[in-house]
Amino acid sequence: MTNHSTSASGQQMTGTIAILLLCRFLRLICSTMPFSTNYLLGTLAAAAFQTLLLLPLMLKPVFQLRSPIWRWGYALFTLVAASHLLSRIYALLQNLQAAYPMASVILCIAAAAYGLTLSKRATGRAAILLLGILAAGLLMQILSALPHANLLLLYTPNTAYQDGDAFAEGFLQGAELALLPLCCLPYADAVQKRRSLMGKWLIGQLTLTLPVILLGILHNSRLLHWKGNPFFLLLARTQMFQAVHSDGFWQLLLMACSVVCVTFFLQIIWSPLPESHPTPILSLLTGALLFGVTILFIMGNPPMIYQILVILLFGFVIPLIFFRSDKRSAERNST
Amino acid sequence: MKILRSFDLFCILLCTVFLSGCTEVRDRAYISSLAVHNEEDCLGTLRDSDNETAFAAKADTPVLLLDALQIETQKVLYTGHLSLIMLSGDIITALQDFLSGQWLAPSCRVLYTTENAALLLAQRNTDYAAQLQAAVQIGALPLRDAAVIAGDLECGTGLTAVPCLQGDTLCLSLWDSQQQIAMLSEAACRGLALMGDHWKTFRFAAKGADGKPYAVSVLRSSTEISCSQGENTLQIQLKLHAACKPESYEHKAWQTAAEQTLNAFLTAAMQETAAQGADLCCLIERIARDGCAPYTSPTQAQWQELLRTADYSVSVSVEEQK
Repeated sequence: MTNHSTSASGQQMTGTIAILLLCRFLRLICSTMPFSTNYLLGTLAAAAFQTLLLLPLMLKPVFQLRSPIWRWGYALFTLVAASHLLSRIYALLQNLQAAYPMASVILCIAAAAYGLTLSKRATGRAAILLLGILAAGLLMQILSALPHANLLLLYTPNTAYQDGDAFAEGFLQGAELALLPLCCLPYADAVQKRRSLMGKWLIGQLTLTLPVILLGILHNSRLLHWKGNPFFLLLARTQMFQAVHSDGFWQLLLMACSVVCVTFFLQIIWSPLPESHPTPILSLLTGALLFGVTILFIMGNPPMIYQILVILLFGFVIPLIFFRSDKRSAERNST
Repeated sequence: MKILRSFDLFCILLCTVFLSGCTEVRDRAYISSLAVHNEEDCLGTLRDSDNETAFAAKADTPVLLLDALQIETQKVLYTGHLSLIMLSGDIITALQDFLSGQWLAPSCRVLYTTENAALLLAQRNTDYAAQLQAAVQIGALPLRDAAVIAGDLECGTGLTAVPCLQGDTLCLSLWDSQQQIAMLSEAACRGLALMGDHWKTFRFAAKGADGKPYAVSVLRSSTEISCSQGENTLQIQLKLHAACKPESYEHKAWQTAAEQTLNAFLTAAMQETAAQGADLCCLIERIARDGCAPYTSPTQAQWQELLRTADYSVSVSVEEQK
């Protein structure tokens, strides 16, 4: 029994780390700042900042932030992180000239809301699977990028006026998500677990991001002012494995990753709240809303403000359907 | 309750039917090649993915030309699969307009034509992108796509080389941000291709003592560039080491002849590009790394001047590979 629970807890921990790494990778991929040496330095500085910030918060019992106000803080942080992630995905799809980017985002939210009906362990398992696919894809990409990598491009001059921006972007990408592991504390109670979580998070994100950034620099052909996506520039510059070279593979993978990440964020937001049985009115209302707004987006492109409103509506209303009120549950259990 | 949940799921699944995006395929024109003649008026021709139909239009600027072509095709233009852009006239302005508007994929091939590009593409149904690809693979031209050309203009010395179709011959044309400076010789193109290392086979004709040419294949090569600060000028040394194989071993002095030919390729490449201020093989990165630049952060004009006044020396060693 003890072994079983230890194994389940370990799996949950791996799942949590996989989700955190997916979030970090998505943040990297959605950026339009060209990969440069200063960008790389900014990423390294962010990793150092995260270590300094998380060491005391995660390892010292005195900093166990367990009061309700912190839980609301976590909820707010993850809500902002989810909105930010979705807006980045939207911008990425627009940048790639994808068909109906907003509709894809709505679909992503709807899928994430459905994901809420599943257990947290299921989200973790999905994240591990996606991280495995992502790692395999990246490995193939790295292998195909290595033969023509030009180390001299690390020294490309004439970039002085964007040095500060590149460093700031690299730093902020990591720093923005610095507190994300804290939100996973409910999953990992013991100090040892938290230490393990932090170590894996820091090493994992450097393992995922640094090779991509480095190869991006070595393949950018001095294209340091380009407005397009630097990861897809790297894909365009390396041609060996056609399956991984395809934009479609990465777009689908990124959408799947964003669904899992948003589900995870919503799970954090709603985990302190009581579970509820959906009422018939709420179910009908949300279903109709989902359907109606999707049709609206299919008909045309409404202004951005309505699009954000819809995102927030989905973010708040849909989870209500799938959660069960502890009162009702208690009532049902008692009866 | 199960029914209600099923209704929610049904709604989500129903959305996917509408969100597949498949209906839009018929409304989009997937362009495979685009030709723009950018002078006082901007003339353009595009060929769609099946490469059968050509549409032509005219506008005031390159970006407006895309709108005009959109009217002509009666479809939304999708340039994500654009594999070739042919340009004539003021090609750099047109290229920069398309790149800044994100109309061009970075791996899109660029071809400058001395004739009117729009008319050429309308008249001929030739796959120029495949021709360029073949030229890169046999080491006749270096890989010069939109990303490389834009990178040279933005973060290089401001000069770049664009693949050029002159008559039926492919070569390279040297440009600054406004005008064409020179056409590069075949030897210079081969030298740049050799250093660029994107070729799959590299065969060349070396002349023997009797004056008869014979073929030699380069199996692999490595180029070493080193910089040092001389008394007055920068010294740039280029060393090429190539493993070669002759087609026949009749000529005993084939190695010397091969070395001379390869030396001529690299010397021409340096003299016709770097000595003109153009950096097509990461010379400025090498200089910046080795700290040989006399300025703290040189401008493009200063880089050009530095390369123009530098002394170049080329040495080639050929090793027999059986």
